[in-house]
Amino acid sequence: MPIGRRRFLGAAAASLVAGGAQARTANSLIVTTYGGSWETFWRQTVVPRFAKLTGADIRLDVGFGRTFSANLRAAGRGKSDYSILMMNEPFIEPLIPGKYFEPLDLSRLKNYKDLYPAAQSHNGISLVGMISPIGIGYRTDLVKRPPTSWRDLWTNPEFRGRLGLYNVQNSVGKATVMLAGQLYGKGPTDMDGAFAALRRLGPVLQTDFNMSTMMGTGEIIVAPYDFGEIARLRQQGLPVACIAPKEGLLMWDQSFCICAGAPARDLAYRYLDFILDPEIQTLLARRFFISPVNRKVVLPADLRGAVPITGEQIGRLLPTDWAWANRNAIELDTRWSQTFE
Amino acid sequence: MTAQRLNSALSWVIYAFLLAPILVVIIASFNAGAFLTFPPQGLSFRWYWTFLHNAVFMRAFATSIEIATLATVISGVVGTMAALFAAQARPAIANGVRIAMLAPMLLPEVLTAIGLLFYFYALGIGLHHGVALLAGHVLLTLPFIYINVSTALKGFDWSWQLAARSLGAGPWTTFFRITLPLIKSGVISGCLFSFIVSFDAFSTSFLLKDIGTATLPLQLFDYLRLNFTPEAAAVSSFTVFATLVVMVVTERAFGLKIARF
Repeated sequence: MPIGRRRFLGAAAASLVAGGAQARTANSLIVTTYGGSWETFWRQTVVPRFAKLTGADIRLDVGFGRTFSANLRAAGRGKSDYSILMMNEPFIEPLIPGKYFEPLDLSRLKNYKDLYPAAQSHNGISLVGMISPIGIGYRTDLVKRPPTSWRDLWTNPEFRGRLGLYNVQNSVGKATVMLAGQLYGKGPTDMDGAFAALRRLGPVLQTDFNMSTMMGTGEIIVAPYDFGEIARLRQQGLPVACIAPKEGLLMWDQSFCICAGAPARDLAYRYLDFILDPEIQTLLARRFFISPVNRKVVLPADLRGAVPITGEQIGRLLPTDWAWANRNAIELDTRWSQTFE
Repeated sequence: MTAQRLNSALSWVIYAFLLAPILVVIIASFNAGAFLTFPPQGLSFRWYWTFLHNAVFMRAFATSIEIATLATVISGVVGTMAALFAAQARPAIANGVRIAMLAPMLLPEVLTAIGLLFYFYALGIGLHHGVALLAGHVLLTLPFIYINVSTALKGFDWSWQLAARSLGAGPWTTFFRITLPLIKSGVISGCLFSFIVSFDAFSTSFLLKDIGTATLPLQLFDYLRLNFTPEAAAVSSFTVFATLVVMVVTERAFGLKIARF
């Protein structure tokens, strides 16, 4: 029987839809990570280990908060192929009101009770699986008077014109605004106070995410820096150091949440528990110099120099208000570019 | 005479201005040091070696080639057919076709991509099997084929076709032996543009990629967000070389004389 055009198109469309439905099965989990060395580590270590542990089919997807949130929204609540996502809190916060994530069932995470308070869930939706504390990084060969306080960025004349900042598109840039408000204004959400203070910094070199090239060339000699990146640069032979300012730290969080209507809900919880496990936390600390979130982790002696901020110290965080930052994203953006034009 | 000399000097200045950044990337890719800096600290092939042994980059490279080839074949056929149709249609209809074919070029790429993202999820296909990604790339590349083939068809003498048909050739024979050879340069240059545009597309791939896949520009972007070694420059330079190879091979194999421009 000859196949008519309509019949053919119909069959093709049906098979596509069927194929689409097939991908959402309970024994197949999509896990997400970032590019570069993160992807390499996930492909070589995290995914094979978890696949072996569970016998499940684990697929890796590489992207970042912006891509994952666009996909969640496009798929519609409860219809995403993702069961669990790793993102930064500033990306998670705006998705909470739309109920894209389910409240965490903490009873399914045996490692939860061992988490430091800074990693525990404060919204019932997400918890922090990895912490990269951010202090002040500087070139030890080019800075005479090392910083001890965030205020040194304003007051040390050596830093004038040689200061790097993450711009306001980056969550650390938004955190820098809140930091300026906290230090010199009425609090982290005092926008006028914050930008008046930022203006006093004078000329600043900005970046979206790559601070290290400018640090490598010496264009900048000081910047907010995560301790892990400084440890990496030292390994590459750059004379740099990072300090924890006395007022407290900023951080990059890798937060995890379970998607509403997760196709592989059980696997998603097992994966989250697996990430929080002391063994994986130690491996992550070794690879990315993150500060472990599980108090049962005993850092090997050779890692203590590279991961100096551990234990209760990671709780010394400066206040941030991501809901405020997301609500005022456009104004932050405009005022940032007016301040550093 | 002096005006001519001035003219050619100006052309060289413009070329230098356009090509200098690419040259910087190529030189930086031979950096022996660990940082992406210019000027480089010593010369070495170390980062090419790293790149060629990086399975993640190589897979992304293969994905990009595959998508660019598929997209070019599909838009090549559809775009050529559309151009042939429009060239013979009534002006009102031809105008409509032209606007429709060029629309993807007039809209910002990211808007088309967002539209397709929601569209494919609404169809229930989502991003599975790379259908959305391929559709995005086809849309992106169609205008290039259409414009080039249409240009080649300007001044095309339709009586050749009539002659062939009246001498007994069927429509397929006429197309392959008369029409296609005459518009070959347009089809080939359109396909070349299409391949390069698809290979280079970022926003479309960024939003429409299937879970677990990545094209080379995406991989490079993901890489650069967190790693800053000269490997990125090596990947970029490799892409430039690959593009040059494609152009040279095409030129040698088919000839790229675009007399009608």
